Amino acid sequence: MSANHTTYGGGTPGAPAWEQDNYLNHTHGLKSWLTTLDHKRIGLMYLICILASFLLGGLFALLVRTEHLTPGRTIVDADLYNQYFTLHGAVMIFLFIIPGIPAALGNFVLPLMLGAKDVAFPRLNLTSWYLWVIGAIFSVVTIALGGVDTGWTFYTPYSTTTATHVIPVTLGVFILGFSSIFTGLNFIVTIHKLRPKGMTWFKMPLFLWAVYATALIQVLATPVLGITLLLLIAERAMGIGIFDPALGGDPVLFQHFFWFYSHPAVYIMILPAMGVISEVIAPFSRKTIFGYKFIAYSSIAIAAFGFLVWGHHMFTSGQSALGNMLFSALTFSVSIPSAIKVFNWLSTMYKGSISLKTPMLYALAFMFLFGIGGLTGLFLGALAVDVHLHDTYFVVAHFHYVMFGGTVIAFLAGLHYWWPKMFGRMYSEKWGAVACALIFIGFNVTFFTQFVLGSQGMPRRYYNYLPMYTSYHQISTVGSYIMGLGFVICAIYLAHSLLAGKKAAANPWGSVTLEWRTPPIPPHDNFDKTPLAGDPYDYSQVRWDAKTGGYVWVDEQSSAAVAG
Amino acid sequence: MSSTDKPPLKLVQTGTPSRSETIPGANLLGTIVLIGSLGMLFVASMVGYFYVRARAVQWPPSGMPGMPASLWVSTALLIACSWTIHRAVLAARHDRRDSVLLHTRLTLGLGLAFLAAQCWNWWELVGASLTPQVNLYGFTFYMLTGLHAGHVIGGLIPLAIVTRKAQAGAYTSFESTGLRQCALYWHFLDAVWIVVFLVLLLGS
Repeated sequence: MSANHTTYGGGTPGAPAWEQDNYLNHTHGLKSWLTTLDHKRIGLMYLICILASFLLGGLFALLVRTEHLTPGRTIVDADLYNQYFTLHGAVMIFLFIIPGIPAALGNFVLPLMLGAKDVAFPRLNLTSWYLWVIGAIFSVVTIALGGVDTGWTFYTPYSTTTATHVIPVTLGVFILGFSSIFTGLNFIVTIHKLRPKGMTWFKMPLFLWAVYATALIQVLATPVLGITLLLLIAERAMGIGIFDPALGGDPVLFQHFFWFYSHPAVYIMILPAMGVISEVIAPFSRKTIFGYKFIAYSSIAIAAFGFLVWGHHMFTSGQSALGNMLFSALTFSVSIPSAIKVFNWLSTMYKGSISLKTPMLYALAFMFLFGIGGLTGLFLGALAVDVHLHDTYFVVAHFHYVMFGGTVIAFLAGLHYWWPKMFGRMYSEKWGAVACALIFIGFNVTFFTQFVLGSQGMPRRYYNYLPMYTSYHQISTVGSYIMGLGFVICAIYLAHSLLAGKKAAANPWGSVTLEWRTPPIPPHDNFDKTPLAGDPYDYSQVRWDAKTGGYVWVDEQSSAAVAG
Repeated sequence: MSSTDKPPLKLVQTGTPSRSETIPGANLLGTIVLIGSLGMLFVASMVGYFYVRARAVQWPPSGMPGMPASLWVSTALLIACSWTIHRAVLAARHDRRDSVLLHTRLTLGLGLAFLAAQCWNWWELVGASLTPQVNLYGFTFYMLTGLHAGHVIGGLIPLAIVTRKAQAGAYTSFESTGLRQCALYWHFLDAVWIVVFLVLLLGS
């Protein structure tokens, strides 16, 4: 029995770890994947879909940036430009980033981290995936029909009167909402009911706290988006007037409804990302996480407070001064739990033994980029400053720093961290570092410039601009190309790793959460018997084994040695 | 059969148990979370109603019919639904198989009667020239009642399944999760309706 074969894994004893029966080769054929109930396969299918959406959204972004190389027309006219930024936003937000980490990484990791065989409702899990696919089809159909040009926020009255195809895309988003709600429901019940013996709430890995808080938001906030979109469709289709002042309605009501979901939605985006960072910082510092309870509670605090600040998107909409002040004060307070997390991660690293592998490079990038993103949110939360900055590129830069610099970077950290577990392969650390550097540099060139653009008055969503902004736009566009190159390199070395990468050990990073107790590629059933949960951040439980090129559990070493 | 005689197995095996059925409490928790989610939908729709109402100069606008009196009938029918399904749950707890079946059938009948009463209410209002497109007073009424009715229609499907399973004797003192899940959902529908009803009543 090889030392790589854990006592908790399934498969044939004696066979090399990577030739054992695992979730990838357990059954064959497309139908076995499309009708799978295995959370790992569902996670993988989500991953492919999410990455495809990121590519599509990214292409729209490159079109937007390329158009901005010169004032006036560069490659397309104004109407097409409006569709490009709308579709960039809608695809990135509804197809990529909201499902993102929970669906693609969470589905794969959650049951493994719990030592469970699957989520609580596997059929509902598959249903969620199919709902995502149907929502995506609606979006693609919208694009094929000629797109939509309202901006991803679909503000009335333009969205109720434009001739572009608002209804198909809103129906698509409505369906995607169900996918999100069902995933959230599944994760809540899974975390409540499937924790193994010994894993009390405060002994759970922090990724589970993060995903749990996210799931609460998904379940409670998404229905509000549902009603918003239904009302928009009714307004367009039946001419109702709920958003039309001439008929007794109010266009600002749309904004209230929309942002009541969409602000908590940004916490759906960032909370799982923060969970990933907690899981990466600790093992790559070889040090137990600092302030576990603070990080856990702050996830719940962010979820709760996130419901109270939607009005900060509407400071200039004519809200009462009192309303504005309350929202501003609450916006400042919601930054505190996020800051607490950053301090705890930094403290975790302090006097740790830092290992600069690719996941950690992305985690470090996250700290810097999310730091900037979060701090610039405070600028926007200050009422007098927001009057100047609202609807400028400052806002665009802010949310890209938190959504991209935060969530996407953390997604990449998680992808690189769990890659060996998902595919049993390692990737090139050298090219990982190169891609990370290109993405980091490209990102900052693209978006830091936009802070300057915005504070100097360049409005967002504008097709044309004054000549004074030209060099900033050009710098920003060049940055986007550098980022694009970084992603291309990332795709290449990851694809290469699947085909010819070094075979991974069961625990290459020396983490001690339960997903690392399976063989290099987990078997279909995850665990023969439920493992005992220890401290998820106590690295004395493992030690490096040069023979297998990975870490082995100290408690199993003696049995492995005896077995030979 | 007294409640102390617990059978060692489910009386009727209705197929292989799903994964969640093997996790104690999972199905009920899932139903509770679902109800929380749907509750937010109704809260949001009522906030929309209040927003529109607060901005209105006159409500109901002049010449508009008031709320039909037969809304009281709908309300009574739905409260009766809650009562009958509650009795079904109690009957299951005491292994009274025939009572379980009777009460789930009654709930199904009352649910359908509620929908019929709602259709009648809508018909009355359309007859008095109040359609969703006429004004926001009309639209918000149809939106709130329509959203609720949609969820009643949706709820009839699990209720029908539960009734069929009750016929097969699936609900006993040992195992009645499916029935209790269905009951929770119908109590939720009842509670939402009472709030919608009061909102509409007090609003006009």
